[in-house]
Amino acid sequence: MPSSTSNSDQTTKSQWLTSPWGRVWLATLTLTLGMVLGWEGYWRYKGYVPTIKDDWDMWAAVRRQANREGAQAVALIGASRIQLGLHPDAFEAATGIRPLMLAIDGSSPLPILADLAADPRFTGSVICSLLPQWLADGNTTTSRAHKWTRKYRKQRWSSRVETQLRVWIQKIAAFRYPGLAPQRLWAHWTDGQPLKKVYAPMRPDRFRPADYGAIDIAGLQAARIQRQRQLVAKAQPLDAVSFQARVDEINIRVRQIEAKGGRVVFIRMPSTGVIRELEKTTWPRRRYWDPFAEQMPGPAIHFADVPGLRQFDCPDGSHLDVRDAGPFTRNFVAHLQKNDFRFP
Amino acid sequence: MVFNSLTFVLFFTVVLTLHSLPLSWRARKAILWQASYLFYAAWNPPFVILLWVSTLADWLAGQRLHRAQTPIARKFWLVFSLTVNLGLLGFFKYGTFLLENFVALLGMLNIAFQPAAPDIVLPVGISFYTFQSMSYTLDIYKGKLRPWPSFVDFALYVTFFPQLVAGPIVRAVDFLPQLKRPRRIDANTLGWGLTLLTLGLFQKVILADSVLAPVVERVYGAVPAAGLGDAWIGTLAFSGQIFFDFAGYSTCAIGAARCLGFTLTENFRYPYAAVGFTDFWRRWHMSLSSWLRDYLYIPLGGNRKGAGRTYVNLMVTMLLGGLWHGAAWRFVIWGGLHGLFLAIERWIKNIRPVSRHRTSPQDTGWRHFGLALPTYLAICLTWVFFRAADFQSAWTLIGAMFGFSANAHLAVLPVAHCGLVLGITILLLTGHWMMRERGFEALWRCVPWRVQAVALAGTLAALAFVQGENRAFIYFQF
Repeated sequence: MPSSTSNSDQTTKSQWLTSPWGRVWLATLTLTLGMVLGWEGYWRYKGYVPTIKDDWDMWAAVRRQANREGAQAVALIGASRIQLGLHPDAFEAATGIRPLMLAIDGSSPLPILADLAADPRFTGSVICSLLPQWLADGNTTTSRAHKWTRKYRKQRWSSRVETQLRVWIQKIAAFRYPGLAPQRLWAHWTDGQPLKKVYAPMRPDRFRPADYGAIDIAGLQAARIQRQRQLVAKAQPLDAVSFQARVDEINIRVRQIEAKGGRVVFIRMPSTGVIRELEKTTWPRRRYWDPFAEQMPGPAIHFADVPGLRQFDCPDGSHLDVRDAGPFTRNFVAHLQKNDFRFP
Repeated sequence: MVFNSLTFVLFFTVVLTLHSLPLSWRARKAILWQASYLFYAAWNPPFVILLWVSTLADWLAGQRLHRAQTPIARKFWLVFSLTVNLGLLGFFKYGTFLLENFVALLGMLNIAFQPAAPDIVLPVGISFYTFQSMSYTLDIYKGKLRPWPSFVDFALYVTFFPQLVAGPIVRAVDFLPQLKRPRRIDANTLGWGLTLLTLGLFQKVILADSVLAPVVERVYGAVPAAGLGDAWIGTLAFSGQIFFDFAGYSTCAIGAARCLGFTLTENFRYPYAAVGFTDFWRRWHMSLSSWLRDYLYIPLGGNRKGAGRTYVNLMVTMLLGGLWHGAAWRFVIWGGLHGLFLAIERWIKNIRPVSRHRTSPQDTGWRHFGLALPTYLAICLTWVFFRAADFQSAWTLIGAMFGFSANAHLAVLPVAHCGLVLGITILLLTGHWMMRERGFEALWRCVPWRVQAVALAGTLAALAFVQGENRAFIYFQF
């Protein structure tokens, strides 16, 4: 539908002087508002809630904040387990510090740890969730964390503004969930692709409270187990020399952060059931976690060692429900405090 | 900053507000000028320097050229402008391409040469603003224009944000006079401008990006697997995508300018209703085709130097027009095909009696529809070279379109996608055919205001609902 406006101002003005633009646009905005509210109401009725699309623009905003907060900053790094399992509100209530969620779903935290350690502007502390494979597997080089840590410094000012505006809309509008885009609905209607429920919506602080009561848990468990089996099939557990090199590298990063006045805490987040068994057999704790924990200068906490942390069940085998994330976080902080650990 | 972003909504709201404040016209022009730099800096702030260079070079060349007493001095300042603008374009847009071809040429001569990768970033819209800026100096050289007295006006002409990065390529004679009198925002300019902006976004975000682009990507991303049906549907989808993408941008640009009280040049006039290729180029990217006609084809001699030279001029113009679109040989081939079709059309018109074949503007009957359809299909064939990743893919896809594929007819696309693309293509062609001699304003005026409101509300709601990948405008890369 191309436009064709005349080059003559006179013609254009005379054509439009009598047009009722006020009425047209008032009716347009009223109808638009009605349709948008109706669409939003429909999806809310169907059980959908607002969620923010996670991407490197979002992550970059939190990463910059980590630098701005100076020594007070506590960065949470890891993958989805810490993103769903460590509740920032509970952490703040227990410590008085609002943590910054820098975890990246499905990605190793080690590039982020390296980035935080190497950045002289970051002087805060780190809580790092290490999955067994991030510690013990050689097959982890192509992670999003690599890309995001390289890219975030180049984020343009317009992208920062765009991200803020986008987050502002996505945190109030359930229909902005990418799974409800008309393209997805079209695929749902024509190809029968199922619509995905939002069970772990992302908040503006990048925490994702997971409500497993809202979804088909058996299906999710099966999918998780299948994914974990694929991961195990591709696993390339490190030999002793390579593993020690990785531990040494992590050690250097930790000491770099400590030299700037920060602290680093490692945590092995819970897993249960089949997922836990697969992890145990593929990346045995005695071979990987225990030697790693011994060599770290600061705390390295395995959930199985702390009664207050091992009491939780992961509904899908590897993540905590939001109802457990709060108590888990409080118990985690209590364990640190019991061992005289304080953030600077 | 792209029109289909929330940042633009914020930016434009602020600009409209400032533009409607009771400030002097000079101050409001300065605000628009600086806002345009901000708009451009959203991509890559250092590239604003290129805008300054182009602006200053043509401002200086225009002044000096007008004052020059001798033909040599006049030519010097013209060459100065062309060198600066085409130099910027050559370095940033064609630098890598030229180097690659130079290396390939040496390779053919068995000379091994491995230069360092140049890693040149293409500044967005450089082809548009350098051509626009150059046209000012060229018009002064040709005596069509006198140097404009105000530098701010001229700088605003070069950088005016609605058309800065993807046209229309506005001529100084059309735009600068609009800066003489204060432009005010009123209900008519705002109402019509916002309407165009909304409809332009609908074309880009809904039709081009959400509906057609996924089909195109599916086919052009799996060329070896494409069957006859896939190849045709994918190419029809691309013909729609590129039209809605680029015409959508132009409509947004014209609408945004209209909101501010300015009128920009028309850029598309229902091109898929064209009867022949001459007609197509009078309807597609009109601001570029008229630029190439006035500043390249006619200076080359146009049709004034005999039949043979006319064909050569046509071909040179279209080959360079193809190269303008992108630094790759497939764009040259695309331009060459258009040049070839134009030459064939001209030759046919020359050997057959004119009266039987003239396309009267009023004649929209079946005979002309019968000519418009093959024109459209030939244009679709040329789009294959425009869209394909490389020559091999283009030839494979064209082979599939003519049945030289062992794959099933629909090996890549589901049937639902075919129906969708065919439906949109039929609507697009029908709409273009029915509107080919009418302006969109005339149609809009016939629509009752309640229907206008429902159409606009439906469009805005669709824009709110659609999301996903934020694709850049295709023509930004040019």
